[in-house]
Amino acid sequence: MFFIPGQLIALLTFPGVIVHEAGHMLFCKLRRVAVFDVCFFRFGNPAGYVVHENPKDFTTGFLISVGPFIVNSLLCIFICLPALIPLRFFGVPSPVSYVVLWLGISIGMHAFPSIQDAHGLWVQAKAAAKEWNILAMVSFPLVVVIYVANALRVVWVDYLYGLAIGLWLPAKLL
Amino acid sequence: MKKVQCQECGGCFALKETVTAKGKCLCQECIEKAVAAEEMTWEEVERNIDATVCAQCGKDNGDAVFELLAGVGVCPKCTAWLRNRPWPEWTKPALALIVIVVIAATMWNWRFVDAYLDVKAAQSALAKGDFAEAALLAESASRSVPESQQVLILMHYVRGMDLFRRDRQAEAYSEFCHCCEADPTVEGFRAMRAHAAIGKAFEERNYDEFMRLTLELAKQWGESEASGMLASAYACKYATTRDEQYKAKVMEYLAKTKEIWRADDRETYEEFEDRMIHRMETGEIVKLAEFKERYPKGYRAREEKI
Repeated sequence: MFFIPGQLIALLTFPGVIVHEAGHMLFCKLRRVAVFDVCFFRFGNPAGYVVHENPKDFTTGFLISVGPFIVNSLLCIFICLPALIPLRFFGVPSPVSYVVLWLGISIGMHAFPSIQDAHGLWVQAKAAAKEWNILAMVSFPLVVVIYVANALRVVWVDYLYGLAIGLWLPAKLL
Repeated sequence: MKKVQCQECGGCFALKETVTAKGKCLCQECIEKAVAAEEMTWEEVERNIDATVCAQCGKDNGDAVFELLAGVGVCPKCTAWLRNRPWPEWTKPALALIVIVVIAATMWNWRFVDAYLDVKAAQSALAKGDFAEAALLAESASRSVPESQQVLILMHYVRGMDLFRRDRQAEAYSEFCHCCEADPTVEGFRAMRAHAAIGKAFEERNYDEFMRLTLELAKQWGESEASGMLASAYACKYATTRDEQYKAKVMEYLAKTKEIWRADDRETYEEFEDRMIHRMETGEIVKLAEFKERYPKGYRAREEKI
């Protein structure tokens, strides 16, 4: 594995950053959580953000945190599908397929919630778990997975995840 | 809007323009002086919030406080706006672009989707043993994606199997030859080509070639496995030459075939045996379909059979 600055990766895969933030905002809107500020993409760290009020319940907080995981993953599968069949099953490449795959995998590789998302979820889960919230208790291992996945970004786990859900999973399902 | 007095200079200020530090309410100017004089630090300073003024639009609500949102007063209109913040204008065309790209890619690649569905249906037809349907579907898939070598091989193979089952051996042989040329490593293709080559020789009434190829196959498989084909080849030789040594061979291999087949499929064996006896007795060599047409109840009465 080789090191590429995060900002360059974000630039090369900017549709994924935009969709990631849109995923947070979508669930804020769906759960009626006030959004004070939103940045879909910028050259900086973080590459995008959504500033919102504290969720009133854990389910809302959970959905806002894992929203990008749901939205980016589904969109990645949906976008990669038209390119998957010619490439995976017939081995016939075309420029259109490569554009679609770039778009789909870019979105898929930004599906993981960020460290900030994981931290927010951890704090909320701890508070909700004290009240015996089942989802909060189930969330602890998920938060650990998010932390580990973020740590493994240096070995391109996010990219591998994009490839897995964009190319491998639909091929298995078809 | 609430007004308060600065506890340092005594001036009257809007609450939102003041801060609280070390329990004292101070105006902006006084707090800056205090921090500059190192009487306190910025960490100790807390900005005062006036919930009677909307933090978003600045609307003044007089003495009545607005609903607090993240600790600040926000008017109902701004609260509704923040809780359902509209998507930026550019997001709609961006989403439309993604949808257009996906639709365009789907249309561009539709022939592959078509071929994929045909291949899946062909595999399903093959599993049901419907080779004719599978051949039609594989042909359709190959027409959709002519550049795919895999689909071309599948088409030749399925077409070969269909022709083989319909006893059109010369055509089946040609299809299996295409498969072997495309991928010589597949044992199944070579085996089917060998089978079809034997059938082709039979079809062309080239019984010497039929015999030679059958013996060759028997060497690979072992005599008992190829006993049925050996019996058929020797029966052809006997029918055309009337040489008694061939008849003896037919009887020898029929006995071996009987051992293997009769337990598995008594009816198929008896039909085969009937055909061999007919071939030897009449000297006529006819294909299975013609034989069944001529003798729908079998060539000989059941009790006459060996």
